[in-house]
Amino acid sequence: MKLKVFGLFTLVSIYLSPQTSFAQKQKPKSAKKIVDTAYQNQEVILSVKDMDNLTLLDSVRAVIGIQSKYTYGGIAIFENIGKDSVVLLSKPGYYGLVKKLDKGTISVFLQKSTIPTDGSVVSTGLYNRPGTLFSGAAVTVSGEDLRKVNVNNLFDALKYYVPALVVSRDNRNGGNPNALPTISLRGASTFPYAAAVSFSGTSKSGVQQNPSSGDFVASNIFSAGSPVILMDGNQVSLQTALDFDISRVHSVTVLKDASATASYGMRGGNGVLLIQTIKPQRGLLNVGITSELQIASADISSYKVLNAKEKLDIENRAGLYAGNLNSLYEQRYNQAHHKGVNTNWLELPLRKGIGMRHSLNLSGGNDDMVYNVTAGYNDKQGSMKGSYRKTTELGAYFGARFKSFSFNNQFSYLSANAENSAYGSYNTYVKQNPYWSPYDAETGKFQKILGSDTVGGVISNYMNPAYNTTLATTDAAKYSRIANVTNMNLVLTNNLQLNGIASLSNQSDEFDYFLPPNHTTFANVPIDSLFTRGLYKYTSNSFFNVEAGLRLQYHNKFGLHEVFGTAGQTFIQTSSESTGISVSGFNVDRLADMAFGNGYSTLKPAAGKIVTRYASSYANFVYSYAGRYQLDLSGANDLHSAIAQNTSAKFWAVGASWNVHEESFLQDTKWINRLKLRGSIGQTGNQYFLSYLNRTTYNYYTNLQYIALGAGTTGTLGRALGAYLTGYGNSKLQSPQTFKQNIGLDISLFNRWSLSFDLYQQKTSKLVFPEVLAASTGLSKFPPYQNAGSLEDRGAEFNVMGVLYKSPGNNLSWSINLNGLWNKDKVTELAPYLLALNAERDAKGDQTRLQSQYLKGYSPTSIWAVPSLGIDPVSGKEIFMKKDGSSTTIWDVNDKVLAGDLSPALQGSFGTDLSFKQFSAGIYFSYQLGASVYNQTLVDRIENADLLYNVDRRAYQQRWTQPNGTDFLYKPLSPNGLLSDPTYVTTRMVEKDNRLQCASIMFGYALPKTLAKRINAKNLSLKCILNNAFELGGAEMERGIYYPFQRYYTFSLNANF
Amino acid sequence: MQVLRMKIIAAAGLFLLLSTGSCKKWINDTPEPLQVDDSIIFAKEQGFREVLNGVYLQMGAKSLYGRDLTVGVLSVLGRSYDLNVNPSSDNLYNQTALYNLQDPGLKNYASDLWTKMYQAIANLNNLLLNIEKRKEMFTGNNYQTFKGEALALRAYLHFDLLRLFAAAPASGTLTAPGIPYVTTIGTSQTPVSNLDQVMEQCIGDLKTAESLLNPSEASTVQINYWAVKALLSRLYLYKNDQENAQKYAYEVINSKRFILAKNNTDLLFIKESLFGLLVQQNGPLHKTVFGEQVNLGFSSVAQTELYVAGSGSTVDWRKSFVDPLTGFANGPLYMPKKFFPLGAKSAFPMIRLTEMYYIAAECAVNNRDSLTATTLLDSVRVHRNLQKYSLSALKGDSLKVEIGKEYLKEFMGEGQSFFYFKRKNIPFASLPFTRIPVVGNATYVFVKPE
Repeated sequence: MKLKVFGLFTLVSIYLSPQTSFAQKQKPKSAKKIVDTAYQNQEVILSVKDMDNLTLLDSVRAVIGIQSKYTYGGIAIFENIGKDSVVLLSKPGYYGLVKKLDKGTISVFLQKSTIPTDGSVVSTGLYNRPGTLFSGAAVTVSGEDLRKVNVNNLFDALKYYVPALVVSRDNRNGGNPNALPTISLRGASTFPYAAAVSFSGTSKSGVQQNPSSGDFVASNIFSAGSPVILMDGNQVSLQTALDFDISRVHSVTVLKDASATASYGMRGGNGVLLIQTIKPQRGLLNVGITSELQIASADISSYKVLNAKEKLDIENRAGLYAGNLNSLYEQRYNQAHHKGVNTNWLELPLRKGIGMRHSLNLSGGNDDMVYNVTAGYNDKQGSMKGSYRKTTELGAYFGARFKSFSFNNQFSYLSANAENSAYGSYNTYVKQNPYWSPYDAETGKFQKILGSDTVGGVISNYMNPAYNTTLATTDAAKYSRIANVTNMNLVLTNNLQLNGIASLSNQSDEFDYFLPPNHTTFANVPIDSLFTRGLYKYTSNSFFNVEAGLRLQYHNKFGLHEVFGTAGQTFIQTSSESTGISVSGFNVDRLADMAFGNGYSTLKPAAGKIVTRYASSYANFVYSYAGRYQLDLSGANDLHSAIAQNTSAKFWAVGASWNVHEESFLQDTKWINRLKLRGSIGQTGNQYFLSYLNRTTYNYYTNLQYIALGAGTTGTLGRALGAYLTGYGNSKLQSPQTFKQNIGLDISLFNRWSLSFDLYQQKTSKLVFPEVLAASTGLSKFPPYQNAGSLEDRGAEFNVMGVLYKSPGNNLSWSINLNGLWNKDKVTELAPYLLALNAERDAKGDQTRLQSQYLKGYSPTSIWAVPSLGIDPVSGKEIFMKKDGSSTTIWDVNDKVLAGDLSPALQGSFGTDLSFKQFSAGIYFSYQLGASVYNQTLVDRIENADLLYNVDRRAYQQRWTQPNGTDFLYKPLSPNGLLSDPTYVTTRMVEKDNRLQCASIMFGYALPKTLAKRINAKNLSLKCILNNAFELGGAEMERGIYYPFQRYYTFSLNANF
Repeated sequence: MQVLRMKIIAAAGLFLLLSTGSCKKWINDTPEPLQVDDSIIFAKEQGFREVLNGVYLQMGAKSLYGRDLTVGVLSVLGRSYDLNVNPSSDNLYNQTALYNLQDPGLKNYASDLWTKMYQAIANLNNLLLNIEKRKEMFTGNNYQTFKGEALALRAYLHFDLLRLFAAAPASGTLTAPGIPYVTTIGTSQTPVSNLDQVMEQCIGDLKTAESLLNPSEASTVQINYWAVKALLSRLYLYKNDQENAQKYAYEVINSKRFILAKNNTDLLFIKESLFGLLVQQNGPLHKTVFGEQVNLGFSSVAQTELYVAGSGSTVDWRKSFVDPLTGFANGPLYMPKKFFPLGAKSAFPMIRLTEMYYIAAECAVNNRDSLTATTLLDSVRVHRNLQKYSLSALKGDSLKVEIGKEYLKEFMGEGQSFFYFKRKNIPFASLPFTRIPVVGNATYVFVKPE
């Protein structure tokens, strides 16, 4: 039983290979002719081979002078060639080559430009297959296309081309350059907030507490719906992929369905993103330069606050100055009306973030050896003052070939240095009263106390958050990552190759967080605790990853039969460590150094260590008949340290495709270039849950021993050590599984239109959740985890691309693109843990904000709210509808109904490109339909608002004031809505969130070749991109709570010499 | 060349095949740096001792014997204090004094107690599971000792859970629902057994422990052979099996291994304890009861009433109370001096020799053997700086009263008097020191969280 699929396969291939190679040998390779080079009228015989597998290449365009030919059988023959001529060779998917002709018979090797981005070859990272023979759902986007749309964020760019990729940015973190988006492919494969499950406190051991940003295991546990990201075959975290220099991206391939991902076994469940970097070009020395100027500007159009006079007026109307507070009112009135203080707090922490990016690429080489050296620097400045992210990158690539053995080694260094704004959260500025001035009247510097009032003898001071910027407030992170990947390839026969890959990466991170003693956080520390003020948190962590793989690749053609096979094995080990200390008691404001602290603020340092091991055996087999009918089989047999010991997780996929355009009945239909039907079905897995859940674990008491006081330390101490259970392992824990089905259609017409359409269904089951146990088991505080719960996604994806007009003469072309993803998620089975979570949220959740509920048959992102019948014009009270249809003014959690879905039903992009002569332009939009949102602004900033601080404009005019009024939309004005009559989750605040966003506007200009030549450049182009230009539709709510969203202006220059 | 290729192919194929076999080992050997796998902890004999130590340390937790099952909640219920029991000082203790076990605060406490007790039991069960798997590893009589201790502790914890969460046999039938008696570790819930079944299982575990433990190896800071016998005696009396209760009580008394105190240098009389728990946190934990936070205490009026009135005397060693803050005999004297200095007494008595005398005396009274009963009580009295009773054989009724008073005097702040009230099913109206009223729905039964 242990005989693997690939094992059998290997034996088969061993058997087949000598025969086939023998057969090949019979064929004469090329006509050998010795030509005297002294003669002018000589014949040149070119034999062109693939550099990797040494197969003869057909359809290579060879140009010598004015002669142009294509190779056939790998050979092209030219006559009447002058001495010292050069030949230009080109073929899609290969790097072009210029070769000097110095003898009559020339053997030339062309190297694949990794994967061609036109879809002619699909690379799954583990194996490559011709696009026409691939049955899976995968899409490849070239680096150029990505950079056309967005050069700031790889995933925002990719999203434009791949509607299945959902990149969501948290409304709280907005455009913070240091915040990570969450990404998912084709709907939800896990319950949202699954990260919260990891942090339930029941098992802190299974997840790294402060993981390195390069720890892809931890980053995928925290965002368990995220697809796996591989860079040149090596797994990386989302943060690493985002920090990577986008101008070095050759292409990104997105693998979606079972056929495309089954070989990834326990990694394939959420889909796979493959990033390929640009490989060196051959030649003496190629130099590529990219220089960019980036301007980030905050988009605060969603913020509408009151000015000083209005704010004072609303306070007065709400009765804030009732009683004996008239003097305070007078004082503020004086500020607002006479002194004219009207601070625009919204702009105070903002700026135009001006950053830049430079990228340099030197490469060269010949048939036997290639190299490149790259360097990159990216200084991303955020729109909040002092927030930035700077990355530096160095890379070196060396590749060489010796007979049938070739290898390449890629070394890369990446470091980031990031800091968050000392201004803190943006919402602390939005709420400040405009009649307060941040500046001291005398010194003109930031003052600490904005204002104070005395109510009932108690003095309340209002602190100026901007004051903290005058101190050494620090919130910084930095890391450095070193990675090395070695690929080896041995061509065994014409049909069989052996590949090996060995890689390692090491990253160390440091986080420094310092609140100086005079930080406003400590404003209320009493005088006797003066020396406890100030806090320094320092976290240091590291991540080390080793990966090794070996695979056999087989390809052969027997007449009309074509066979591809791959079998291999991957080993991955990750080790993650983290230590954090926290120091308090500082006296000095200006120096951000732990050494000035008084002592530890926590009893012991927080430390974590996680090691995971993963071994995967996989195989893929494709059979094609006449390029028409394909059968695609994949399988993986995985072992992982997180699942039950001695059991393997098995995954499989079966795919089939039919190239209808190859059929004889369509041979004459010239306008159909491609018509392909494909389908696949299979099961993949997921490994992103806590480690060590399969083990029963103990911990030692570190602060206690079972020993009498004063018993001395000799002899007894070790014996008195105490150990206690901290985790009860589930020895039968399995990998979560995703069962995927996909049917797709690819059509190309008139050489201009291409359309692809996919229907899919995915069911993820056996998710990992803690068990809910009776306390008498003794395990209720550290319950074992079980496989429970399932989710189902159904959807359709479409992508239409068309060239509306094309005129090669003046390089005029106009094309359009429209794509979309229609997706519905549904909970199909609930885990006991989720039921308990539902109950707890009902009982204890903060009902002023949305509390997600998981119900079978409903989307996990459903909005549950109590139905509102509006506000009673007479009393100003909100009227709710109970389950039985009766109305009430009492809000009850049990009356909640389905009020919408946070996830859109349809989302996607459309755009158009226009190029004319040297100019190009494009405009790209993204849209979403069918989503709802809970308008938290209406709740927090109007109805539940605390009038001691500034509020949304709508609170000024649209609140209920007198009985039977008509011009109100919100509940009555009161000094603090949260205290007097809090608004709990109600359908009244649920709004449609259909949005259209202009993701990008691009203008480009490429210097004409003749001009470029004058400065010895191969090409030179200028580009100007505006990202997030504007947005239409959507709920009127504040967007970017802690950090505003940003518009990016990018001006870039790209030149190749 | 052809041959070489064949070799390479064969080697590569073989490598792929063979490597998968060693994969499993590689995966299974994944290191687990910050937690200790149970296969590692139980790989050595020492690990079993460490797990037992872990259980003792868990028993020392604040909500268990570190505070609330001794000086805290149970002593409030056991009427050891009458001072500062009011809502303003501490609501939990105030509700406790009112016997309002339905109070949300007490329900929370009960839930915490229940969870922690069963957590300790799970630790024991995992040890018992592993000890059988590795029986051949043990040297000497370690196997017997570890297993005996684990079984005895399991019975001890279950018996206390039963006494807390189920009605006393005296108030109903033995078939009334008790608690789950958990003997395995796992996710399946053990059903609730009735009182009789739970007590039988306790007896079963204790008798096995008795047979495993060595009578001459008696470290009293670990549960031991003699403590097991004493516990059997306590249990039989609770079950109202007087014959066995008396038998085991005499076995302990007559063993002569433990002697009653001859002086008052240690008012906790730790040498009399058959099993004492080392509770390092005692100091700070006791402080939260007697010290500035709650200030529970026993008023001097009540002290006189308990220790002096009737057959008592002012020189009774146990009538030593001190100021909780200074520990001296000036200022307010309401903290039993036996706890002073706070934290210095790290072993806390879990079961004492004197209880055996009282059990034997109680059985004798029931057998109408007043002489024996009086003699037994007198043997304790002389070691407490008291004169013998004036009569050599007190009357049955007054003996009963005297035994009740002894439980209060002897176990002041140790929690055992609550179990006495409960065992006797004493009506709430007749509880001593009724300065504090009880609520209408007062009960001796804690609310089970499940």
